[in-house]
Amino acid sequence: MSFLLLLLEWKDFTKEQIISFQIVGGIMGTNGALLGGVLGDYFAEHSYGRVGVAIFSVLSGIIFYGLFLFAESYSICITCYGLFHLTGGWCPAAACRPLCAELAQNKSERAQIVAAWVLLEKTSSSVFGAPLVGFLTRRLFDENLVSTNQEKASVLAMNMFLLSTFFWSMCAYFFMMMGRAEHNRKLEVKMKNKRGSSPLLV
Amino acid sequence: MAIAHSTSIISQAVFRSINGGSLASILPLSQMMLIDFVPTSMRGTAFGLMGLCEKVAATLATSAVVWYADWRHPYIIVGSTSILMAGAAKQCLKMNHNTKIKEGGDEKEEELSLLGVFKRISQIPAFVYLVAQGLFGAIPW
Repeated sequence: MSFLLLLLEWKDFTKEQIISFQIVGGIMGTNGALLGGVLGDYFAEHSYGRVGVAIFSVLSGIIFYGLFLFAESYSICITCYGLFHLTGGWCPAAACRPLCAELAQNKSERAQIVAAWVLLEKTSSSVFGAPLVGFLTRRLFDENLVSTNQEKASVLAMNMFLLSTFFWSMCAYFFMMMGRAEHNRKLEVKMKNKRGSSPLLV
Repeated sequence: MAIAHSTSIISQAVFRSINGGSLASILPLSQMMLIDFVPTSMRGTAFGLMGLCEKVAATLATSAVVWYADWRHPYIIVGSTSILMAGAAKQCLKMNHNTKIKEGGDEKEEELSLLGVFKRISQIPAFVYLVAQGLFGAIPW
């Protein structure tokens, strides 16, 4: 968020306009969380349903974030920012949490696995999150070549776009792999149940 | 409530650490409770609704703090509300600890060690990818 504030300031937006970004992002993000969950449930019956919703969320997030970063006018900028928050936060409710619950065999294991998942994700986001982004952005940023706020904004926007696209593309790739693994697991369970219910095998 | 009554930065840091640890342990438990109470086909909506409520509550709480003259008051209110909520949850949410839900007929109810949990996770490919996407997707901007 600190990088965003810096970018909005360099884009010469007023303080009121910057606050409006925070409000729009908050409102759209709040509704986006619920929308993601509803869509996840709606498409859950399809073999790649939940994962498909998550991949759509990540890809649309990349597009709207890119449009927001490079938009010049305030109206386009805030629209893309709102749409980014509306579509970019579907993954936890639509796919990650419901699928995580399905992967565990029993109740006690489920609690431990979710706790371990939360631990791994929080630790990784603390280590690979802001510190890594700050380090990479600093490495990509040559202060001697830029002087005006407009130039600074365009360089920062490009760095942010490249980094976010790389990380979120990796995220989408792992969702695709997860979808395939989940599809195979469901097939295995179906086969096992079929074999178990077959009178020839009793 | 202990944070509200702390007088030094060290006691404040200690109580905040305890508070953070307790809240972190509640997160997976609350998710588990939701999974137990909600059928599989409705879990996405339930998690979405939980996310929405969390964000609305966080916004209201942050806005409310502005109206208090003393910073200790919100802590006392949050602490008292938490105690009341714990009592209400114990009364209203009935968990059956003795019955086992049979899934496939060969369910094993055993608690795993931390190493066991990570070993179990590594054996589920979908879970490995779930963690991997979290590594890349949780980059804050």
